[in-house]
Amino acid sequence: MSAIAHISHSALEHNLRVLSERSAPARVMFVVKANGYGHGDADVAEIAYHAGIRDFGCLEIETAVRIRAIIDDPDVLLLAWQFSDHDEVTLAAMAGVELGVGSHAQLDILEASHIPGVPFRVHLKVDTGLNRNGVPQDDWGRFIGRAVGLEKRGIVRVTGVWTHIAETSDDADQRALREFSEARSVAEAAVGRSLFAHLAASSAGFRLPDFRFDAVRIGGHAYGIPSFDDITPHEMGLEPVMTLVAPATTGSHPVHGSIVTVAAGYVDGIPGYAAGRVSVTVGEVRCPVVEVHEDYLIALNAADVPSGVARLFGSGDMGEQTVREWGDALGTLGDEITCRIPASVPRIVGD
Amino acid sequence: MSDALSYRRVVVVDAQLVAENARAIARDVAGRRLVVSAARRSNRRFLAEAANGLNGYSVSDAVDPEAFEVSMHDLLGGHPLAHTAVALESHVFGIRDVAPGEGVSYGATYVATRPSRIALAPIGFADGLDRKLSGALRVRVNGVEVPVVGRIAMDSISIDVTDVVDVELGSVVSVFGDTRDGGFSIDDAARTLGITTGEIITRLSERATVEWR
Repeated sequence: MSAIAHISHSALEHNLRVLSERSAPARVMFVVKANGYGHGDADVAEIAYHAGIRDFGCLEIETAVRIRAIIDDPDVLLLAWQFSDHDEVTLAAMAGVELGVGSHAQLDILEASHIPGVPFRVHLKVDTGLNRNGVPQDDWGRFIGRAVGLEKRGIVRVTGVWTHIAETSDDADQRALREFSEARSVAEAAVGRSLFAHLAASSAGFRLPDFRFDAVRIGGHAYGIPSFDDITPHEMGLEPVMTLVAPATTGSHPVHGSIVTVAAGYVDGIPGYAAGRVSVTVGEVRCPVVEVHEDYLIALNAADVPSGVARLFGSGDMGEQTVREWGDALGTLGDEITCRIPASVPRIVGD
Repeated sequence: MSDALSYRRVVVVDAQLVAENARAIARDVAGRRLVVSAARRSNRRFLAEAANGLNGYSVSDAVDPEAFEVSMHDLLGGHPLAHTAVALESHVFGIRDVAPGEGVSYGATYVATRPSRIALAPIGFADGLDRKLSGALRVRVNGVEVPVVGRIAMDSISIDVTDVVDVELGSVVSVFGDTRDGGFSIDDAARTLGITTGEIITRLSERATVEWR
């Protein structure tokens, strides 16, 4: 026995429609890294494709290639930005996966892996204050020059320019916006055409029209997990996509009294520190979680509900908490909670 | 050390330590046969793979009243008598000089107070590095223990390597592992989070390859 993650087809479609309308004319690049934030990357990508999404943020080439195998449409852009070696980038080129490139070392790999007649399609990444990956601005001109040189030799084809902002403060984000606009101009002037530009992720993309450029990379919001404080998914017009359920069996406990034992524990991704902080529902009744074990958890059953199905988190429609509420209660992001649910928990797609 | 850019994530299992752990647990249960629980080992792909790599220990679904059942994560360090025999390993894929006053990672919860060298490693909370370890986690870069700074992101961590002299792209970054010399251990992480060491082991990356060494 274990938990099951129900993935709501209609909720994901709804969220993508809402976010696409809000982002327009910018496109939504749906981020499916980390197994689709734990939702099952192949399933959510397929739903999104049928809902009209044509751009996918994949992180790893392996993920992008698997999605290409499901969605064999040349108009679909698959972007991967963590890659290491010749074999991987060759696979990317063969599968039509575009590569996010944020360092000279990554250009080195492409240069060394040149496939005559098949340039690597690259999105060049500038750092605008996150101080993570991305080329520092003082090196941007040289970096672009090098990319243009590789393009002339047929090794790459520059198709995009991007960055990732820190969302530290409005001032810092405005500075990042100016720096990105400038970096984009430098790149477009050097390659002599316009490039597909993307800067914002869920949060900035939702709030700030100026930050949307050609695409907004959306992960959390598409899964119905708000990135803002003090707001519910419903208040944002979004619906949580995952509902985690597990069998619940009533019993009595020497310390806790009347309890339900729920067949989901830390091996299923339920954090041990959830004990005392979240509740599950059985028959729409909230049962506070008091212990989390390896493959089960214990919740109080003050209302003496009968055995049945426990909803750990979900849409909230049946009285259960949302994963965002779990994240708040546990001092983290809902994203982390869905991410940590292992592949052994079946994902069942339905309405 | 390697000089190549690498995004590989590896769960490294120390075969010798696993064998020592198994002996310690077996001694504790008066030499009963150890059975690695198949039901429990299957929940995480890497645990299943690790269990498949066990030589000389039964991996069985069969109920044997004489046998002592341990889970794979017990053998890897979750058991109170076991040493940590598992590490999450990655490589430096970026190095950035950060000036005093500049922030690192989301929300800039960390701001450099001195001219700093910050290395990036492609492991994050999606690999089981609990985001609540932000500010506490320490990792080894080329064997030297250094702090992770700023928020742990889904796919990467930032590491202050200012005091490590020979860091380059490809340098090995190791989390947990054999910390008998006092390095940041799974026990430290468990204490910080108020959970068991077994839980942390079960959560190590599903997108990593498993290597027995």
